[in-house]
Amino acid sequence: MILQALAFLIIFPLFPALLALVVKRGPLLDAVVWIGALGFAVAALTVAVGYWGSGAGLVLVPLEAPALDLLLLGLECLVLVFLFIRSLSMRSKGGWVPLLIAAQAVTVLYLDLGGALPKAVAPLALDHLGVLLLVVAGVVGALVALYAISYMKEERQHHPERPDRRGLFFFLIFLFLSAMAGIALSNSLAWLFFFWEVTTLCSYLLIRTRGDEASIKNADLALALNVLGGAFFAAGLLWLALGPGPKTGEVQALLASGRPALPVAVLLGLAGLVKSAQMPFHKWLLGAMVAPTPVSALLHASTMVKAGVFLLLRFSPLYQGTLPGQLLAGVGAVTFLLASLQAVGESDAKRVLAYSTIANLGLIVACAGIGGRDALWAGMLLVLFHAVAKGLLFLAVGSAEHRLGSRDIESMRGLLQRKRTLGTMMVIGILGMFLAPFGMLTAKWKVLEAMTAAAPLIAILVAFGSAPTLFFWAKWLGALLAVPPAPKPRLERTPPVELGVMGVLAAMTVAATLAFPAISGVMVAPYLARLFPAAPALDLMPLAAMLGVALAMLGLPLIFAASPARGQRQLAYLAGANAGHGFVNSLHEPQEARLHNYYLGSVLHPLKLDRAALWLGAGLTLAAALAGVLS
Amino acid sequence: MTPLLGALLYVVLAPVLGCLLAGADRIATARMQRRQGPPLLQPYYDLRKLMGKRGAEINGFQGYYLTGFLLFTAGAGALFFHGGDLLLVVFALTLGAVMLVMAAFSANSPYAHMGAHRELLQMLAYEPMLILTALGLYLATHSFAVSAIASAAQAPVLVLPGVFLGYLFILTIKLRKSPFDLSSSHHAHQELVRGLTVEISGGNLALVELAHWYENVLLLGILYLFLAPWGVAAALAGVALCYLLEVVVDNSSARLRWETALRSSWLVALALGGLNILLVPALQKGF
Repeated sequence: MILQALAFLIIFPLFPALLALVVKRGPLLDAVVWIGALGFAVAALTVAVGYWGSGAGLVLVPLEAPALDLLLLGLECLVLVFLFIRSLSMRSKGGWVPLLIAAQAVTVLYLDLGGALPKAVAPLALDHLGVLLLVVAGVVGALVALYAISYMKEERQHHPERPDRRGLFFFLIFLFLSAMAGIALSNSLAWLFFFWEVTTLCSYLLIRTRGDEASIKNADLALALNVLGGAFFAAGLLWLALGPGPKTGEVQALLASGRPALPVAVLLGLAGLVKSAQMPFHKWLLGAMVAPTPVSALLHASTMVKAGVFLLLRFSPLYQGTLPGQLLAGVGAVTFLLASLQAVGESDAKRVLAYSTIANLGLIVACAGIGGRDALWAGMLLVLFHAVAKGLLFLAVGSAEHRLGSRDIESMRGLLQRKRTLGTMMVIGILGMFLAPFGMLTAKWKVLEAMTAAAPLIAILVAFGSAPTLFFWAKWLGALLAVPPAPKPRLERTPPVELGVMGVLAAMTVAATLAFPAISGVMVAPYLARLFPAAPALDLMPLAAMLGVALAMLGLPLIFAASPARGQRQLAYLAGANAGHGFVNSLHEPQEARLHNYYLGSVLHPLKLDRAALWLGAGLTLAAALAGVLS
Repeated sequence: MTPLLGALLYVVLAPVLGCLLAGADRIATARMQRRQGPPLLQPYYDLRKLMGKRGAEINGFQGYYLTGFLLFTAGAGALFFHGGDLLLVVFALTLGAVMLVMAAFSANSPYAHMGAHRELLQMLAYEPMLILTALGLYLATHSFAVSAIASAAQAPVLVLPGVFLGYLFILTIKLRKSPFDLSSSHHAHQELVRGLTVEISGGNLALVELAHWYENVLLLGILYLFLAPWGVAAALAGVALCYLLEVVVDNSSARLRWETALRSSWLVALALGGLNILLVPALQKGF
């Protein structure tokens, strides 16, 4: 029964994928996407709720199907051959990319056909960590797919000159969801690697969707770096087969074999670093922002990049208390600090979101590298909260971009007054990202508490990274909340489907904040109790204080809505007589008062930060790799 | 003293203490400038007068943000004197500060806009050291609970001299003293340095003042934690001395550029706070 359920989750999205390829456009495509997305979400939630309710720990699902293994191997070779051919035509320098792809193909064939790596007895497995990723992919994935129906239609209206590739687009989205389910549920390392490569393929093709010069260039960059990540993965498998450590083809068996498995875990962890865009490999995620917004929301914020940290969180028990683990955590913490600083200097909303995503993934990587009960708790909850809040923010920016014709934060000044509902969605998303008592900050609080004793240096880096996040979020929030003196021209309506999807995500952000202890108890705590049986019960007492703050925050607007307006309205002080939108200047002429945000360019030089990211990131990654291999 | 009583006493007495502190500050400042200075209760008279003014608002949202500023600042202090989690206190204080910044942003006027950014700059400058202070106190006493930190066996300042000095440094920013009073100086001679509150008047401005009194008592409370095990009298004397030092610095320095403020406070946080935190285990062995 469990086997069928898990197989269904991986295979089901392939049907809407293929149908989308056939139908291509029109109401029929909408219907396919609706049914496919809702079906996938319901299936994922059913499995998740059933699993949480059963009280089971780790469920291994044995399967003896040599034909299936052969089929997956064939498909994997197909994927690699496809990527190989595409990489040959890459325009920028990158002659090493086809070589790396070829090396991966040879490795896979050697390991699978040569029998160097034992076949997994239980290729699938179910546990709380996997279910967490599954739920994120299922729920956020379905919501973003629904949003994309409307968004891609608008995109088509705004750019009729571009070829209509909606069929291919939704094919890739559903193929990607299938691969995510595969990553969440695979216990076989060979299967995991296959799904890993499929997400690389989907990401590469989705970034190219728009087909213009910038898209192709950035898709190539994403391909090159993710191929490098794949090579780390292959190297890990090769080490497993040829090295002195344990001989197994299963993730869980690898975890159970303890310290001897560390080199393999570190090599796989490096693959995770690339996938979750940690420095110095972060450039591809910034480039990926050229893709349509639903792609950014789904692949590059809420799910695919989470596959990277998922792998690191998976192997976190092996990293705990080791030098390579500390160095991996160092990569995450440095990424958190530098990416947050770089976000301060950006005015393009999507780039701010991209840097913030990189930073938050860094925080999760730091949790995984440090390990231990509390850090893992924070890391897993960050995965969940970040997926919901960041998904919401990306979608809100996408809708605002279509309304305003720009995604510059400067152009969003007063958005809350101009577009009440859309503005509210964006405000909730931003609050969810950085302000107490929302989930992200609550998790960050636990990160700091968990790390101070285990790794003070990492905690110091996180403390420094925390301040710039405050700066760039508050400045964005301030722009949205500004009350412009006079109404500006009306904006086009936001399509109801887009608002509906954002509404669900916003409700989830608020609900997750209020139901924090319950979510922790159902989705995360049992996993930690199994991993760390000796640890005392989680201290959730301060969370009660957080909940109090949450209620105060929600209650305050109600009190204000009920009380009568206070005082008379006055005009802003402009050191001169007010005139329309501005003031009368010293030549007695009306002068418009213009506002502009601070970007701190004189202190935070983007180039210097880039260089620091490259050297620090590369140095720490290299050190982690060396320490891992030598351990 | 039970935890609940501590929180209640703070909520009731902090405005009184904060008011007296502000009055004493003004007298001390005046004496340093060879002036007589206002009566001790002048800040209270000012507050009464502000509250009696007819309200004039630039939009209907400022009252909401400023009430939030007051509530969350007082809430942070209540949590502190309740003996709660110090890191949460810091976060709640930040939440209050963000509300104040939003009140300025919502005005959408150039001076308020600049004031809001300069306040954010100040937050960017002091936030790392504020968090490091909480982390340092945890490492010294093995607890984030204020109640446990206050009843530590030895004074945390002994193992945290760097963190203590770093906290004093950013206290200058938090107390809005020169040379770091970029967004809201006590001496409002230019709109630029008073931009944060330039669009706030009457009862709303009274809320800001009141919140500052709550905030200052909380900030000195954190300072007190470093010295607590030495007994109430000695610790209070130490806190008073530190405050006097802040007043001296305020009166003897000119305002710095924001770049200098930012760079110097991060450098201090890193060199004094960060280094000290890494050395805590070694320092503890020394005792």
